[in-house]
Amino acid sequence: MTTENASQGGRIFRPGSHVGIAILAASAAVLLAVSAYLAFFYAPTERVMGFVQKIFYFHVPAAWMMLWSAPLMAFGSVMYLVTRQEKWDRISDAAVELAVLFGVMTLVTGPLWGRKAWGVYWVWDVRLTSSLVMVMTLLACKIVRSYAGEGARNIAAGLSILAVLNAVFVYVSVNYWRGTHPDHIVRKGGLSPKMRTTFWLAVLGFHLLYAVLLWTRVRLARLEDEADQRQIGLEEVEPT
Amino acid sequence: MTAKILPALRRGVTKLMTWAFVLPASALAQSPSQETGFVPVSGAPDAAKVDPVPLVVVAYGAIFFLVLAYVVYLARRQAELARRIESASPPTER
Repeated sequence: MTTENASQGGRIFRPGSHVGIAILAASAAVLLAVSAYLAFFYAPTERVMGFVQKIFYFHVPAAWMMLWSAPLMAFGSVMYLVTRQEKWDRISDAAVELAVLFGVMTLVTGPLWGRKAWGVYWVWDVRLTSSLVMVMTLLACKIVRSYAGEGARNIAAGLSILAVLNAVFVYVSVNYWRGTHPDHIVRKGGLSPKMRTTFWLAVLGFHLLYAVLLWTRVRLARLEDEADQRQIGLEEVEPT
Repeated sequence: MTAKILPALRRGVTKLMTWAFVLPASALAQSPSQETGFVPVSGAPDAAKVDPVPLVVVAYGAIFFLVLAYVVYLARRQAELARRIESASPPTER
């Protein structure tokens, strides 16, 4: 390994590079802890649904994060297909992974809320079904990336663009089909001031968490790619 | 041979066409959005008897667990990367 390569390797663990992200991560943790506390001890219990409505404060932000990933996935995928630069593929891949993470959160917490609110864990409502399809499409994206070999990135980019169209459908579905899932409660001002404060703090916490995870994931992928390329270079210089 | 295939093909196409019309129609048949809030599912067990506390605890616990699991996954990948870099460096540079 050359001195230049060694200094690149040292860059990975440079202490100063972690300070900004550590502050962001600590802020996200504090905000989420505070919003969880407020959800239970500050926000009033909802009149109709009662205590189970507390799930709302983390369920909705998680769903929003899943949907926020969609434009990022689309942008990354389209840019990769056009420019063939790997950095766009890394961004798209990270966004897909985070969409799966927050999508699973949504799909786990939603049915728990539904068990009390609707009497059943799951109904084949338009929004629920389209959310499930979206998460499954994104999982397919990850599986393709792992097993499809050459050309996997192109297929994954195509699948993530498809998932983006699905995300739009998830969002607008409640406007056109009144299923079991409630309408846009937040947008229509269906929250009391205390509920609103708690909810928006949780939303901010989830946004910070998303930013931290995205940054970490993209950076890790970039460093792994650099390490792969360096290892290939090393093997070419010193054949075994 | 053809006499057997054609009726089967006709039945298959008929079923396909039926589903192609029935599925969107059933989706569209859901009443348009008018009210805000939760609508109980008809015929479901009485939701009033369900204790909400375990549901809320599991929901918040699941979110905490999923975030923690993802952070651990990233940390393990990062540790693996560090090991690779360490092993690739000549002894003098370690």
